[in-house]
Amino acid sequence: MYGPVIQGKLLRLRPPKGEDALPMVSWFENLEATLFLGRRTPPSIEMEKDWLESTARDPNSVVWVAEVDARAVGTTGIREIDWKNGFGTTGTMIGDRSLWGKGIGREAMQLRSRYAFTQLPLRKLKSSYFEGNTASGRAQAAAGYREVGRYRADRYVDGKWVDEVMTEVLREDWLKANSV
Amino acid sequence: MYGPVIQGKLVRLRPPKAEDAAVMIAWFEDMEVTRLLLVRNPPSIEMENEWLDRAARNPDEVLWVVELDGKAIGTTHIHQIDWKNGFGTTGTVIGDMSLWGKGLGREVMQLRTRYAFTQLPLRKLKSGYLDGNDASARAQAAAGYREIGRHRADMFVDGKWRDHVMTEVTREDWEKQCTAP
Repeated sequence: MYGPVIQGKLLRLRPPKGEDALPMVSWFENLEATLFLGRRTPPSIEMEKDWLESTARDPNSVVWVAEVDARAVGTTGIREIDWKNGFGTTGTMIGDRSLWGKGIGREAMQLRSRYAFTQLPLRKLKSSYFEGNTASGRAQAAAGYREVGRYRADRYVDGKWVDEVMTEVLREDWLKANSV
Repeated sequence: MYGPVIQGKLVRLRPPKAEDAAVMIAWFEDMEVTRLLLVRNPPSIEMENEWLDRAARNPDEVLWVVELDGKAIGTTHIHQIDWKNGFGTTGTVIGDMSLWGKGLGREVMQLRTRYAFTQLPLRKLKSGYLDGNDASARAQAAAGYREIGRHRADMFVDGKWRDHVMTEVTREDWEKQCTAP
């Protein structure tokens, strides 16, 4: 599924469009932009379009494009939703590096958590980040996620093995920190 | 099937066209528009085009676009028609929020009900609304629907579980209403 429009203070989450595929592909061309991502190689434009279309039809995912000043700068989503057990896995990419360090990822995660706990009946969101990705660690903490474990020396990045830090945010933790 | 043109006092029901798809997907981007609808996520343009095409070919559905001043502002349909037992399920979307509260939905339902009972041999129409959707409740009542039960705490919207209120209008109720003074 595509997510509906959610207006934040810094950014706007909106459903993807066909023409987003082109900027999205270019984000993955840059090794610095993908330094801490699971995917580190660029897809073809056809692969990206296929991904957008299959996502739109997938009842177990919700995906948004993050927009700043009407420009697509990244994506965020909840994927692999397990409706029976009430959880999903979240991920975010801010592809435009000039916007890193401005709290945009944090706001994207906060808006997404609010959506997951007020518009969907989910119990928890799971996520992770690679050791050294302090921006993601801080943004996730601000959105209510906490560390629940580590896969040690899990990914080979820039000449060394780094841990994958597993995180999650529970509905009850989110409700304590936020009002509906 | 697409429905034929039906001209009301306020709105006009007409068959959908391919160019309606782009307008239609924009309605579902807005959580205020979809707050009390069953569909709350925007489809891709390809999905919407396919949905329109499937509806056109489906013998158990009648679909219209709701038009005001030449502009597509919503859709309404009778779907899952069971011809043997003579009923169908109805639904309406008014996607342009600036037009809410003007009685457009009510007229749409009245025109659709008349079509179902004068052009089709249906015995009843089933529908429903989410608790809190007073506009739909009033519009359905005006078109002859009455509450027949509730699925309690059925749908999760804006942080709470809401009842799904089930409604129906029977041909005989509608005929009585039409001949009432």
